[in-house]
Amino acid sequence: MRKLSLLITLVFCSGTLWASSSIFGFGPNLIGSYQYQYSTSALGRGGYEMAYLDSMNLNQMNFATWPFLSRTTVSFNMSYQGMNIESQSGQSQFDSKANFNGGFIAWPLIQKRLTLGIGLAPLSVSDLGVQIQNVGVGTKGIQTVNSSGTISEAKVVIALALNKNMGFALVPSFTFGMIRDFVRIKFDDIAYGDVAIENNYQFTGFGLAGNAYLNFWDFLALGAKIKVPSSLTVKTEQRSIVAAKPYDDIRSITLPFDIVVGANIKLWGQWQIGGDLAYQNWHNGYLLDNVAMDNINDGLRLGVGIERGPEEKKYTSYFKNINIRGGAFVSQLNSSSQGEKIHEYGLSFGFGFPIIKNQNRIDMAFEFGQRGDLDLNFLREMFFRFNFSLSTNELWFVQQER
Amino acid sequence: MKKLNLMFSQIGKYMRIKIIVVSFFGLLAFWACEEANPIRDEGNDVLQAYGQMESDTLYAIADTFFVEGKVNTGSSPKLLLGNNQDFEGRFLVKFSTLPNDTIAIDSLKIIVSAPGSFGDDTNPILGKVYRVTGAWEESVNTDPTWDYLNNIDISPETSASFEFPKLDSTSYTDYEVELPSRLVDIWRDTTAGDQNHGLLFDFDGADHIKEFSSREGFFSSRRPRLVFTYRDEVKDTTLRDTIYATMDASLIDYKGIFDQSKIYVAAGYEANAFFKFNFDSIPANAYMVSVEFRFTEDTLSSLVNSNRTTEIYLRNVTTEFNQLPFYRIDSTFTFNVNHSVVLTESTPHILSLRDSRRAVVSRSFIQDIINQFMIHGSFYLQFVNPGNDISVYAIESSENATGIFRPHIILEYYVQTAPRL
Repeated sequence: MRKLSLLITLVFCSGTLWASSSIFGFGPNLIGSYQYQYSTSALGRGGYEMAYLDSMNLNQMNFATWPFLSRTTVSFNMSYQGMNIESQSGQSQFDSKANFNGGFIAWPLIQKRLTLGIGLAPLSVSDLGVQIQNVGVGTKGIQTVNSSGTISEAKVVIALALNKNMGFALVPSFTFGMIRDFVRIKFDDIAYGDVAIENNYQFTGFGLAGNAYLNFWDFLALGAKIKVPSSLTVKTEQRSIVAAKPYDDIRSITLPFDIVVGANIKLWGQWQIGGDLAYQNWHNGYLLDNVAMDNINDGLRLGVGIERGPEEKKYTSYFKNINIRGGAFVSQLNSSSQGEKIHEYGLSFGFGFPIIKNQNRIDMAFEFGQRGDLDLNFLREMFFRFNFSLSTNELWFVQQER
Repeated sequence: MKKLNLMFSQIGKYMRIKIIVVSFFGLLAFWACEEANPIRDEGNDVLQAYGQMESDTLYAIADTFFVEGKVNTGSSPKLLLGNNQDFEGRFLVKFSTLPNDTIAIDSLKIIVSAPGSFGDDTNPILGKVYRVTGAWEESVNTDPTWDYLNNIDISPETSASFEFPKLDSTSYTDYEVELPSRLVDIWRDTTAGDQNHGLLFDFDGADHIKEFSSREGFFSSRRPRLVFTYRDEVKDTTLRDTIYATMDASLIDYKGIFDQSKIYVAAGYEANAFFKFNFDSIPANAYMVSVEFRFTEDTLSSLVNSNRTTEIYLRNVTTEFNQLPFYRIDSTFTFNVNHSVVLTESTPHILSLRDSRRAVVSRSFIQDIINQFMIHGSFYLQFVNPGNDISVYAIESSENATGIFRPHIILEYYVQTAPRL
């Protein structure tokens, strides 16, 4: 029953991973808002988990931690996001949406040694609308551009622990998805015909990433991820309802390399602190038909946080078994607005509620922050996001060590 | 046994909790997927304001007044208008070219500033501003052959009345005259040569003379000025273009005498009018949003019942048109009628088609021509009079009329931008 529910959920949603996206991800040559694929528990810590070893939850940034899980583990994530966008001209708009943010399953082929896994995660999302007023020459017109769609990564994880202090993972991935831009112009004068044009972009490609997890000291763990530049094929179709000629094209996109490093320090008791630093060379590494784009900036993200884990004692109060997390994050987006770089910053906190200790946990994270600057970028997004995830550890397919 | 029951009880409780939790997430996931609606209501879109109203000012590049029997070389700081003790003054003023028709001019007015007057100015000066149709120099007053009455357009579509009351200050009083929008079309149309010869201020009744500051006046801000407002446009918007007929002709079954420089469409007599337009200047990725046909009536040649314009139909022709001027009524020329749309007289003597549901067929037809789906696309007018009355409507032709008086189409189109990837 449980397996079936999870399977149906994953299969049903595999082609449509949705997340409300930043308006800054919309523009010429862009593929939407780039997504950092942190788990919900990590988001509660400000988005750090490269060196965080969690016995219950699947680490979605550093798969080299997976061999240290002794049971088959499933995690999947959802969120509810609200965002208010303001423009310099004084207009504002609030929007909210629930999203499914992917999931993973990890299966220990050899306990504490070799783990195999699969999963889905959004790489980039586009879900926004832009309205431009007064576009007509002879009459007032309103142009609306809706963009929606997701580029997702289906990942296969092969994770190996050389010993109890060192793990590595190789993560080949298949990238797929579709983004659809719909342009519509409506005119006040009925003598004018409305414009309706649809642009569909279909993406396919392969990628490869490697992860490492090192824990040579009791108090300090390190983690790293590198994803090599990957190539996407984008098939473009332009269609209009009324008249214009169809347009088809096939182009290639090169995604930049992605490096993330992180550290985790154990403090007293169950307290831990840590941070992740991520970098993608979008400026020179993002190529469209092998040509670098203007107005693209390198992506940077720094997330730091703190967590209090559950008591190790078997019999203790439920409150002491709850994970409590807090953190902060700052990032530079890969796009620009009004020729200026765009920055995002915010705070987060979260909790992990065990259902059955050491077997099931619901994680929740609440983030709030801001993207953009009204003076510099002409637009500002104030957002909050509730993240939920369910993790379950089972003995499915596991051969117990004797 | 008790242990077994307890174990099953705990397992059952444990299973129920998990099923509830998994079902909750399953439903949430399903809802999230259902939320993936790619088209959202406009109310949920982010608004960005563009297209604010702007105004701009053109200052006179030439001006002069003329008084019968007097010499004026145009260098005077004053422009005189009115009548005082048989001394009559009128003045001419000219401005540089208006911006092209990619922006929509919302209003147009001329402002002149008067520092003083001759005579008792209790009563206002009544008069009109006329479009000047011929070239003039600032020394025009010295040219005995230049007759202003033969160099102005007196039609109401291009002239404006004014009433200039008593001066209201001891320094300068500004007087504004709202100008008709038709002037904008004419001044912008450079296809038939420079049409912008400026304006003439004439008076109908006056018992004094007002002095206005000329472009040589002491204060530059008091020069005659043309102020127009327009909507500031943004990129990725609609454009406007005017396409004139490259070929037109009438097929006439009439043996009497008539002015053969005009195009005729008639009922009672066999007379159909054909028009072909060249859309090569329109971008291949243009998306037609508005089409307005305009034909100007030649009132002198329209013979009878020409007011029945609602019985004139514009039809699409899909056959080859190349040698149309040489076709006769007995020729083998044929045409296919795809659509019929009724033309109406939008303004006096302007036969036009712009109504939405009727225009849409021609908009699609023109789109097909631009897309090269329709190789031989052209148009013809047919007068369909249900009775036996004779009705004749004469239209200015492309060969013998100038500027916007020729048959033309005003197109507005959206230039389809390339996909972002």
